[in-house]
Amino acid sequence: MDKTKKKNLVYNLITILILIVFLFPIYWMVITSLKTTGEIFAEVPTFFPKKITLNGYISQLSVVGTVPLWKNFANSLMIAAASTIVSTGLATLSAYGLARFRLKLSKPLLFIVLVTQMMPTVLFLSPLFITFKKLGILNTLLAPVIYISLQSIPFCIITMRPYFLEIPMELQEAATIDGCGRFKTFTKIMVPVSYPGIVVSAAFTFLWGWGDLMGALTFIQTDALQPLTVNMYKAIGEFGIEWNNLMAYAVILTIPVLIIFLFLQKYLISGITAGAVKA
Amino acid sequence: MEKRKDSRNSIKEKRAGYAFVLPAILFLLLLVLYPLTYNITMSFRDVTLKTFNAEQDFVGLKNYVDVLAMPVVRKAIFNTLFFTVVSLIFQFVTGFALALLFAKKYGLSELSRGLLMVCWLIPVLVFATIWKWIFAGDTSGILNYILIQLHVIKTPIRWLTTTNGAMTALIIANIWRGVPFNMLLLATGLTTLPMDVFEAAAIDGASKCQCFFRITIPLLKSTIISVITLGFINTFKVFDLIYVMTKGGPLDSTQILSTVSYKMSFSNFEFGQGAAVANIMLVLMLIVGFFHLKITDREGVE
Repeated sequence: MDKTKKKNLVYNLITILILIVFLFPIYWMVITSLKTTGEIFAEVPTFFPKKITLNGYISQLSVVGTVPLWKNFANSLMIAAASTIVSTGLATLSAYGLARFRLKLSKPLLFIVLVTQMMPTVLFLSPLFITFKKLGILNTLLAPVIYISLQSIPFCIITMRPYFLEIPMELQEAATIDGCGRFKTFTKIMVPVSYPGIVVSAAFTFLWGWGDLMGALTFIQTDALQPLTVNMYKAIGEFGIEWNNLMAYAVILTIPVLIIFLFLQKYLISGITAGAVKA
Repeated sequence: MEKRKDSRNSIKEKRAGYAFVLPAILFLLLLVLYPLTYNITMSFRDVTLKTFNAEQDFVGLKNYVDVLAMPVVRKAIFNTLFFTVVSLIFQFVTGFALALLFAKKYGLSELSRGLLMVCWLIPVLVFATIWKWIFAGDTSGILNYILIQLHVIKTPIRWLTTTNGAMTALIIANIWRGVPFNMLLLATGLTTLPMDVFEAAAIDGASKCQCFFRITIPLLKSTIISVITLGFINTFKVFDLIYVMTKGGPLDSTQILSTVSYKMSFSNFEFGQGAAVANIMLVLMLIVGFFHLKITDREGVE
């Protein structure tokens, strides 16, 4: 074996070790969700279930209060989808405007975006609670959607702006010569060319909306309007230590994340680095 | 004539520009400025459940004086900084080490960069719950089991039910979450470094260690700074993790400023005090934030 091959082998072995350490919690979640209660509390824990059971999943689908699980699932989906549409929509326009127009206020406006991104928005929960109450949107799905958008819009603008900056001026001029108006240039040329940035922004916003706990927990009181996250959070106390049920719930919440990751991995990585480094 | 047409065009152009930019900005301004000012005015008033719908007396700095006198708030200020700094150091060092490895080209390097991202993408609630289970204090907790098998400890550690154990557990979980993000940004930075500098240094007989401290670090400076400040901002924002894993307990040992503020507002219904704590946290945040913005500005936002 020559030297580089040996080196590669060592690197690969170290990498496998690192992956085992970092991915173990996810493995442990899946394994626990497939175990029987007896096996979970066995003297010697098993790294692979002796008897695989789907009871953890079945009990999720059958009981849990008076609201059927699909209802919570639908709420989660609604919150995530609405946040994605609101955030990506507004942010795409804004990122385009900040990147392609020479505006006196560009810098201060971008500054506002950067400052907003730094804010620990949890601190806004109580003033927003009071405001939403006055506006009468407390206890509606709109409340968490607004809360999530508040966090994701700055991220989306910062992520998309570099993509718009990179579009060559000639492309824009060509469109204008062809008689495209400003808005048409935007929808027919700019958006299709910079779609990787839009995809990343949309994907992240969707994931945040899907995983949001505090927004829904704070603003929504009706069980029938709650997303999966709140339901699972409440189950932590309710089930006490029925870890197989809880982990089954965790797996259900993780599946959409894995699907998005599988399809968009390449975009997600380039998007994070573009937004963070170029800011 | 030409000129006039130009300037009219540019006014039109500007209007169009603002039409694109402003909806999102107005949304943000409304939803940030309003709560922000609300928090500030609330912190100077006596806002509790009793006074919620009535006249709220102006109490000056009373809320600030009151909360700063509370041991839990002082502890929380310390905890917030401790949690942030310790997480940050370990995240960065581990992330950097992994980045150096994954930036090399070998079989698993690309794949593992992507796979580690999953740690960062799963919902906080999910990973906090998994860690709660891994850290279970009796022998059913897998971490205790592994540590006992490896002869690191003799008796199980009560991770989440003792004051020191809980903070350690939270920091470990947070590091696990933060490492992939650090690794990813640093690995991307590393792959963009010019190779010829390293080749030249190697010809001049520089050791690996010299190369790292004299070339890699200076060339990566801007990436390193933005990774650290972003890490600070993200760690400072952590809330759900603690809320799910310990809720600030046991005995308030893991309360940070945001969990204290939330508890004051939504469990004790002392909205004025909750707002005062929130503002203290924001001031701390802004100090670091301006440092971050100054750097990104120097790196050239335009």
